[in-house]
Amino acid sequence: MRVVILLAFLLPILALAQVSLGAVHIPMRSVIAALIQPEGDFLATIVRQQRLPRVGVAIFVGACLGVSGLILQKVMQNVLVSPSTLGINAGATLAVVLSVFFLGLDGRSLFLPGLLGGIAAMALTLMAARLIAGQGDRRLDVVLAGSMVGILCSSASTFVMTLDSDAFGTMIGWLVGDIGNFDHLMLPMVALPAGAALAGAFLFSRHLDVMVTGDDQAALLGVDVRRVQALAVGIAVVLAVSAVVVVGPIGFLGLVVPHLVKLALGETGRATLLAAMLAGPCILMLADIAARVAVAPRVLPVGIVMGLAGGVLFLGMVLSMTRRGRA
Amino acid sequence: MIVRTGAISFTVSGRFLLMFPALTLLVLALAWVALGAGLTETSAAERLAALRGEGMLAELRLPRILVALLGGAMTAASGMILQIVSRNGLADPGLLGLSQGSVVAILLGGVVFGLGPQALVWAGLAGALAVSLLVLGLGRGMMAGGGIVMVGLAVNIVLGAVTEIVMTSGDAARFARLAVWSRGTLSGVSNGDVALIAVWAAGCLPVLALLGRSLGPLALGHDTARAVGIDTRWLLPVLVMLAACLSAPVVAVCGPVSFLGLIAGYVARRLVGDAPQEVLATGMLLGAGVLLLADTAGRALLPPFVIPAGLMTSFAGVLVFLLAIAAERRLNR
Repeated sequence: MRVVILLAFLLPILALAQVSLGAVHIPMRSVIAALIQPEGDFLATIVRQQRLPRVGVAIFVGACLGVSGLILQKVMQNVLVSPSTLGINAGATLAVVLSVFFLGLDGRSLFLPGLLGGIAAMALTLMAARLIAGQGDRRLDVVLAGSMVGILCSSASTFVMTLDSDAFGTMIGWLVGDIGNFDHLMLPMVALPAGAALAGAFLFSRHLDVMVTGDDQAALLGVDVRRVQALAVGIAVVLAVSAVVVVGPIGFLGLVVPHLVKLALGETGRATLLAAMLAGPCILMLADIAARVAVAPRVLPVGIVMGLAGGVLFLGMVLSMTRRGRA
Repeated sequence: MIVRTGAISFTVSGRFLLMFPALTLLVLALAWVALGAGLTETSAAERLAALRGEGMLAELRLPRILVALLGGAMTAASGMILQIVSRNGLADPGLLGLSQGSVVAILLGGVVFGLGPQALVWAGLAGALAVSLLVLGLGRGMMAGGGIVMVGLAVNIVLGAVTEIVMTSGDAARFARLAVWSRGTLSGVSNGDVALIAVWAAGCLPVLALLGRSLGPLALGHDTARAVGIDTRWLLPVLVMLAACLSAPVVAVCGPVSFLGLIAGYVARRLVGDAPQEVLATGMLLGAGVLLLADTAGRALLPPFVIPAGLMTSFAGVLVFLLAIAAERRLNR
């Protein structure tokens, strides 16, 4: 519980830092003034129009991806899975790009195609994993299958994007995962399903916890394993897609957060869920601050910074896992 | 079957003697079709003229076909060398990260330092070598199965992020151009590119032919190879370097074409069995044919859109990858 309280304190501090730091440094006093007074100067406009929406999006996306990753890792009993390594992110991205290009959809109507894409990619990954399953490490099989689906989807979306580079000029930031460049009309629209999915995660937390003991054990304890698995995957996909639709595919947040949370709190319990919900935004904000400060005044898309950091971590995990498997 | 011609005698399998000429004919026929495929109709006389180097076709379609054939064969050879070195049928310059290493080095060289096309190949070579040392070093001892492929994929992710940083630093039009290149395409190919690739092919392929005899023992295991008197201490590094030299120029010209080595190696083993030299020769033909087919189909399927060849090989490659790994697992079970 102490960890949760710590994170709860860390979150507003990071949020203030995220508002204050950037290409234009805004002193804390001006930040607070801008928050309190309705009318303000140039700095206040930056705070209200630019930085605050960023904080809001970071909190929303971080919470979604963190919880989504935690649930997936719990129910699949696999520390390498996450929305990005299973191909869910890439599938949702492809569906969004396709529906923008061929159906001319925009803004609010993109959630449904994204969801369909995410579900399709997940199903494809599971099918492919079953096809290649054999005597090797099952956990690697799923990730291998997910990477293949991810490669397919992302190269297909790049191709569609390049058919008309004018129309997609504005979408480039989205495609690489940028939380500064988003349609804020999307947020209330996806907040509903995402909120429902989060509530579901807390509601069924007990059932998910039992799954940690393994499929057979859970069945012995009277859990309908298939139904809980389907439910959990459903919640995870909805959360991941809500995040993707708003800011584009941000990889590895869903992989990193559960690991940190598990180190501090173990796998089970609602406190873990809450910690994932808080840790996700914290890490995303840290990455975003790094992305804006590292090469200021240029702003790197935060998805790239996450990809860089997460990729290194993923490499380390694969190495340690295969080494252990061999010993 | 043993072939004896004067002082030289060597063994050849019957399937290889059947398959190799058949595939050669198939690839030539494909090249003939590819020369005619496209929006404008072309007569047989025009195509013949193009082969003599006359007319529009010689300017536009011929270089593309030549690059597809040469580049496909070189990428496939690079993949199959890596398969022998890592003793894993799933190895491929794209999957192990060599191509992505070249991409990062070439992008940095071209966009940041403004190097010319000749220098870019060397930059790409350095990138490919660095990544191959990294991946093979990290993956030492877990070559079999998906282990080393996972390491390669993880390295790919890190390098991909670096690529995106460079690509998003410009405007939208440049992003679109670089994005197409970074997935593998033959659409920007000119006669200069043919010369560039041909020089590297002329340099690498004789070395490969010289080393061919030692590949057989190597495929049986590094210890076995040492036991029959092959010095693996220098042979393995030379082979890795050769794999990098074969893939880097292709990446510089048409971007990373993933999965080609994987497809070629898998299909070739199905066709001619396990003798490495025969697999290598058949696989290179297959690689040339598959890349040409991918490019031609990409041009002809949905005109006026051109589907990049890299995308087509990725689609085919993912399927072959799943089949190959499933087959390998079933064999081990």
